[in-house]
Amino acid sequence: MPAEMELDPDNVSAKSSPSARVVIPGDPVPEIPPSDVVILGPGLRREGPHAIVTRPGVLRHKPLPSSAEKLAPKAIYWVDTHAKRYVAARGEHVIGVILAKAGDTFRVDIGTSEPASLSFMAFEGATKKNRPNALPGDVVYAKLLVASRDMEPELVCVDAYGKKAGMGVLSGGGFVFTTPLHVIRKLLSPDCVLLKTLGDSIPFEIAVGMNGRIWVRCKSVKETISLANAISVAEYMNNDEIKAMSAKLVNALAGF
Amino acid sequence: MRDVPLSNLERQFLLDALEESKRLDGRSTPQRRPLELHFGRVEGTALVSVGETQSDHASLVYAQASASIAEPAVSRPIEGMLNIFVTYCGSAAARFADAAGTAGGDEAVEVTRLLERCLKESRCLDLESLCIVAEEKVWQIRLDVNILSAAAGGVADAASVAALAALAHFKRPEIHPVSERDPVALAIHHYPVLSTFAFFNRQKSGSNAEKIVCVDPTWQEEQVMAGKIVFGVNPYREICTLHLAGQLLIDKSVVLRYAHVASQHAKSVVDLIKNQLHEDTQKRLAGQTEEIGFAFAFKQNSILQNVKPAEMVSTANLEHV
Repeated sequence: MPAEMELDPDNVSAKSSPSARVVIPGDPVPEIPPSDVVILGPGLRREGPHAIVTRPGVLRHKPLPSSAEKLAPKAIYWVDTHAKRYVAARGEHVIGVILAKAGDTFRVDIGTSEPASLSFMAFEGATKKNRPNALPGDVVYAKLLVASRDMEPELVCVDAYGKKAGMGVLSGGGFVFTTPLHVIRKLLSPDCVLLKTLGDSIPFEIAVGMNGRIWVRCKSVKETISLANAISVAEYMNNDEIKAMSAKLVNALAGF
Repeated sequence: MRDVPLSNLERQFLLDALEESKRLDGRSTPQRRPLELHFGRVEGTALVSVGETQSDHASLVYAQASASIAEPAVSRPIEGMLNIFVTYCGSAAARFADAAGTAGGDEAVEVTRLLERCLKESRCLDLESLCIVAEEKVWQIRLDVNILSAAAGGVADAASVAALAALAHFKRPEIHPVSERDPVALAIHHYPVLSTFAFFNRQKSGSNAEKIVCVDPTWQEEQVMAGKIVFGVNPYREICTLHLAGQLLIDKSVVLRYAHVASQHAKSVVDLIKNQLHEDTQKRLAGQTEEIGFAFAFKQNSILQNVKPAEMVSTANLEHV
C-alpha cells in the first residue's frame, strides 16, 4: 500500500524534474520536492523526515493532477525493480493455480510467499448450494481483496456488483507462462504497442496477471507458442523493435 | 519457497503441442539443448548448465572429485574406490523437498543410482591403478555432485556430464613426496554419458499407437510424460546403463534405435569435455591463471547471468514453432 508522507522542507535540496535514475537501497531521494505531499510507492520508505530507497532499481515518478484539497498528493514516486517474486497488492488482478480445496475455500498459488485463499462464494452466482466447478490444478483469474503483510492474501472472482467481469476459471485451452514482473507492467502500460501490434495480425485472447503470469489462447497451438515467445522476448525492446519483431513473426507464421 | 505447480492448462497444452511435434522452447522432438561446461580453478571441479543459461531457467550441476587414502574392501584388495554423492541444493529442490525436509528425496536417489550405474558399475575408471599397497592402502575417489538448480529439468543428463568432466579434470597426488612428482590424472577407460528420452502417449488413438518421444525433456515435460528411458552409453555405442521409469511398454527395436541416438549424444559430449580439457590444460601450461576457473566463466557472460542483452528476435527456427 502506498504511504502518504510529508517531507521536512529543511533537509532536502530540491532538484528539478527527476529523470530516470538508478538507485540502490539506502539512497536518499533528493528529487522529492520539500514540503510536498507525495505518495511513496514500492521500493521507497519513509525514515523519519526523509524518503529512502529500499530496493535497487530505477527511480520513477508520475505527477498527479492538481486538486483543490490542501493535502492532496502531488506525485507518486516508486522504484522499478527487476523482480520475479510477487508481493501481493490489494486490487491487482492475478492469475493463480488452485492447489487444493480447504473447507469452503480454494488454496491458490499466486506466486506469493504463501498461497492465497479464494472462497467458494466469491464466484458469480455462487450460493451455498451452487458451488463453483473448479478443481485443483485449474487456473483462475482473480482480484486481490486482502493483501496485507501479516495476513494470507484473499482473492475474489467477482467485482463489487457481484459480476464476474472477466474473472473466474480460465478454461477452454490456452497456455500459461511466467515472465518477470516488470514485463507485465510494460505490457499494461498505455505506451506499449506490443499487444496491439500482435493483435492486428493474430487474433488472440489474453489474461495478464500482475503476479507475472500470462494466459494466452490463439486458434492454433503454433500461434499460441509464437505469441508466448514474442511476449517473453519483448522484455527489453522498444516500440520500434516490437513492431519489427511482430512483423517478422507474422510473416514467419504465414509462411513467408 | 515452494515451487510453482504445473496447472492442468499447461499439461493439456503441452500434450496438444507434442501431438503436433512442437515443443514450448521451439525445439523439435529429437533436438537437445546445448550444454555449457566450465572447469574450475581447482582440479577436479566442473560446472554444467542446461537450458536458457542467460536466465534462471537453467539446470546447473557442480561436480567435484577429491581423493583420500583408505583401506580397500576385503573382496577387492587391489582396487581403489569410487564413491558418488548427489546432493540437491536447497534452492534447487523446492519442489522435491519431502515432508521430512530432505532435499531431493526420491529424485536424488534416482540420480545417485543412475550415476553409480553409469560411472561405477560400467567400470569406466581404472580402479586398479588406484592401489597403493594391496590389502592395505588404496585411493578412494569421492565424487560430490551438487544439483544447484533443477529449473530446466534434465538433471540426470547434466549430472553425468559434470561428474565425468570432474573425473577427467581431476589429478590425484602421486605417492612420493609431492615436491618430486606432479599429480597424475585418473585413468579413464571409456566415457559413458546419460541421456534421457521421454515418452508420451498419443491422446486420440489407442494404446497400441506409437508413442511420442522427446529427447532431453524439460521440467514441464518431465511432469507430463508417461515414462522415460535413460541410457548410459559411451561413444563406442556400448550401453552401460538402461533405466526405464514410468508406466509404458516399449519395443526392443525402439530401445536399440534410441541407444544409437544416445551414443551420438555421448560422442558430442565427450568431444566437448576433451576440447574444454585441452583448452584448460593449455592455459595452465601457459600460466594464464587468470583465465582459468569459474570466475572467468562468469565474466564472459556465459553462465548464471541474470541479464538478457537486448536482441532482435531470430525467426530462423520458426519452422519448429
